[in-house]
Amino acid sequence: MPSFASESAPEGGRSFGLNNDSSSPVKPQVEHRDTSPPEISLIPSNEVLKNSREEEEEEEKEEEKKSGDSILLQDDNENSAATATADTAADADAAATRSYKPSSSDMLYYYERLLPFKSIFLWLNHSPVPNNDFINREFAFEFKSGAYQRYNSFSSYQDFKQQVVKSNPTRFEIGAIYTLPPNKRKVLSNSKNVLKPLEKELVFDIDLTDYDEVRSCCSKTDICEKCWMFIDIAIEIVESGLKQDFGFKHLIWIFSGRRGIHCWVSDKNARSLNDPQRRAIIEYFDISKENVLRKPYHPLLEKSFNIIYNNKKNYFENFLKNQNIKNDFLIDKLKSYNTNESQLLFNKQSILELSNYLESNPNLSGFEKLSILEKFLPQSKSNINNKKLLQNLKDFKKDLVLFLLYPKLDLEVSKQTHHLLKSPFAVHPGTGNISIPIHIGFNPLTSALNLRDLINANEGLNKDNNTSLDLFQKSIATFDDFAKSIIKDEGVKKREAEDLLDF
Amino acid sequence: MFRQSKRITSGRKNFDNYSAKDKNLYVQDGDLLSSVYSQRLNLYDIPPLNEITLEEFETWAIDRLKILIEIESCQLRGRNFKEISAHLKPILAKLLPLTSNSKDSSLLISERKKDHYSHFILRLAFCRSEELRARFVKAETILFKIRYDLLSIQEQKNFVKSIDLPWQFIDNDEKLKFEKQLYDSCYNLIKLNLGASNSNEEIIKKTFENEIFLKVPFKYVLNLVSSRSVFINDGYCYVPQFLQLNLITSEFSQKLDEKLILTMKTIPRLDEDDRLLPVLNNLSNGYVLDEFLTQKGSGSLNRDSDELNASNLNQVSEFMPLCMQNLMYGLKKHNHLKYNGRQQLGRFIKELGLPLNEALLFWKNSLKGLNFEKDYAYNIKHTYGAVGGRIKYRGMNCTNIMNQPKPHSSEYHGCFYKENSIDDIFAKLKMMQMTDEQINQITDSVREGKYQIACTMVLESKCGGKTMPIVTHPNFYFEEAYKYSKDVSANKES
Repeated sequence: MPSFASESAPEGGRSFGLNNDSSSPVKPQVEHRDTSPPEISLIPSNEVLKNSREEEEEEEKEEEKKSGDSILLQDDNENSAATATADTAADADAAATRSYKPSSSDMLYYYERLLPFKSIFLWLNHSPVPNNDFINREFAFEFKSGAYQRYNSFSSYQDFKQQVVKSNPTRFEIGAIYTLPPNKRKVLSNSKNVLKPLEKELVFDIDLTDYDEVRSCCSKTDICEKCWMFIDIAIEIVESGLKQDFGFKHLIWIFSGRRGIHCWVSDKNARSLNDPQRRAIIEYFDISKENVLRKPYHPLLEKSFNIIYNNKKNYFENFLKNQNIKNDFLIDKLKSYNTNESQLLFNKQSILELSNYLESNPNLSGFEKLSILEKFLPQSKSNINNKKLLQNLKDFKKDLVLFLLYPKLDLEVSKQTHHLLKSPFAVHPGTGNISIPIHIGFNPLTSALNLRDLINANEGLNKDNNTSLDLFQKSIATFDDFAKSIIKDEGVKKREAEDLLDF
Repeated sequence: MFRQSKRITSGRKNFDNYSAKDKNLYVQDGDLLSSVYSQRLNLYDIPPLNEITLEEFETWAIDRLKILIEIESCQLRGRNFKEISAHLKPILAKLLPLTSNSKDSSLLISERKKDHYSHFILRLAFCRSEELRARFVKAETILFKIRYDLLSIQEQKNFVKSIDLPWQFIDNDEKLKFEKQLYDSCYNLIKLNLGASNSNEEIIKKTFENEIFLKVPFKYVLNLVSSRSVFINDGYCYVPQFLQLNLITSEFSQKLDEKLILTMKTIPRLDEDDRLLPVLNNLSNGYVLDEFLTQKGSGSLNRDSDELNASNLNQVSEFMPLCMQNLMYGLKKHNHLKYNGRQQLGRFIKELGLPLNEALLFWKNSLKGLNFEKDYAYNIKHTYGAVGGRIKYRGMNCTNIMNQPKPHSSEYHGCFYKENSIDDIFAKLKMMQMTDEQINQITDSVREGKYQIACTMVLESKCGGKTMPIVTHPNFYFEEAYKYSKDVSANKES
């Protein structure tokens, strides 16, 4: 059995198609290992902070019942151009063939030879020499059986790799830096020394499932290029808010593997935020609880509106072209739209008329829906009132743009220091996609990195080219640059860091 | 302030025991004005270290407690800040005056010393539970605000200068640079501050132009961040100066809360002191049951021990607050009460001073046709601390009562005003022969959710219109109503 636990071995783990050890018969050994159950303590998975994970799990089970090709499009948008439909459908086919549930042996292969443990270590340790930032960091393993093992921690990246290889989890997640090494909590903790979360990156989780009330192309775990635009907008707005408003520098966006993205903010002062501070930041960004947005817009919303509506990428126009404004959503927003004068912009009667009209004209496009609103405004005899109503309608349309396209954040993940989130470079157990760093312009259907392709490429089985390997290497380089920039900021001498980072 | 070592019998001077660090904090009386007490207001960062007498310890604390209770009761009555401030001004001048810097120095020192020590004594008394801490912080913060308001503008400026907060005023260039963002973000704040009636675009614009902005790291003003009410750039919030008092008070309450938790953690080390603990316990107990216990001397203790018994409890039920009357009614109607109801009524009866054997008799007579000994007797003994965990339960106060689970249709517990419809309350009050005007006032309070005010108004009408403190405990209601009727009948006889 190949062992990568020794000091010299780790770098051998990444062969990048050099195929040094492709002659060794890996698979049979791996499958043999697979039969022995991992030694773990079963921790009930109904822990509060794991709610989001469970939801995802349920959806995966649901999906199991469906046929294997999960990302197949359900395009019910009748206004979209026919060519676009054909294009995306073709992409989806390509993606569908690549989406699979990785086997335990594939996972082991990935952990033993490919996963950049050292990069993750450097990112979390903020220095080349292992210190408490890494040693006291919690990792959680999730297994095929659904068992969830919390409070793992490692003394070095070699230890990290060894234990991941030994346990071979379907995925692993990253938690907080604690007062003690979490795996020694039972031995070390006493009345003075209790296991308490101290620090963690500020994280954001954006999931396309939360856009179901506004996207008409897909629902639940399905995604397509059209709805990935929501994610692009979210990246642009959240990143600009975090950098300009809060002054954070080091943040990275990671593809979650299926239908969402994670943002990790690694600045020292972001890591040391306490729970109320995290909550204040996430609430600053969140508009989901507001019915009417205060005018004049707060600079954050003004900026966001400009990103969505006014910039060259024409997000809003594309949205209207590719999607539609759902009738329920529109009516719902109108109903709750109380203006400052505590009167409804649309009264009950006019809302009823509007919804009847929408129902009897199911083929209206988003453009058309926006333009007919005016006709249904309640009429008033005074000109001043009518003018006011028109102004209010204009305000409503502005708000509607934000309600439709402004980022919809998963609040709970960000609020608590000890919340766990899937690690970069972990593999999504439902799709086999690897969580790589991404940015605006990423296409989850064509540019996702799938474990199967990567293994095939690494084994030299890919006939056409080595794009998967290139992508993987590029992703690691991006991530390493990110880690390096943090280390540089933490005051480690540049040369020293680069010496150690040069691999 | 307190010894942590065992008592040293030869004299009470224990300062030899202080470490070098503490010695630096110990200041001679004469130097106090230039150091700890240089400002009229105190943020209570430094604990007092000089000696005071036990008597001072107690009276100073009680004086401050009276003020805090007054603030709380004003709040319960739903008064706004201006009204509270006006109401408290004379009380403050009497109990806890703080005169301005220009007066003679020994008076200043003694006033500020009293303020300083009483605050820290009450910290000791009120750090014990989360509820106490929250109430203490709230009342102290309002007190702080009232006093800040009383300062002259020059004193306010000096005070702000003296506190060490990481804020800085921005210069005009910076204001111009972010002009649009600043204007947009504080437009609504200015509007709110001016009042809806006298705010139009022009006035707001003018106010904005004259406004000075402070730059504060965002983590000091989380509520302004989460409500998105100020402009944030590069980790700093740009706060208009008129919110400065909010900044100071939020810092004040936040720090106080943290310090109280610290105090709670260190208080076990104080427990060996046999002189202070009784005083502290007394202080916090009086606050828990509010005025009920402190005024108890006039109530049940004065009653003959056999004045109330199982047989005449029904006759005195007219002096009970409506929540208890309702339970008595339910008990009579069904010959039974569900668990929550038995608890609420049972603990009330116990607090009335009914001994255990009388209570058992009362319940046995009331719970007819049931296997009393088997199903209920244990529970009643348990309430009296005669069996099981031997906890002697106290009567529930209004907060306890209101926090119970909502009563179902066949249950009668909870606050009468909170759990019943306006119509039911109206009918009940009508039965009590109250005038329509009184009833309207009471139902108005109920509509606003001020149930204790409503209850107080009913008590006041029962006591011939005498002004009463806010009812926070059903037993307080009973004792007052009962005493009043006795006084009236005694007057008649004479």
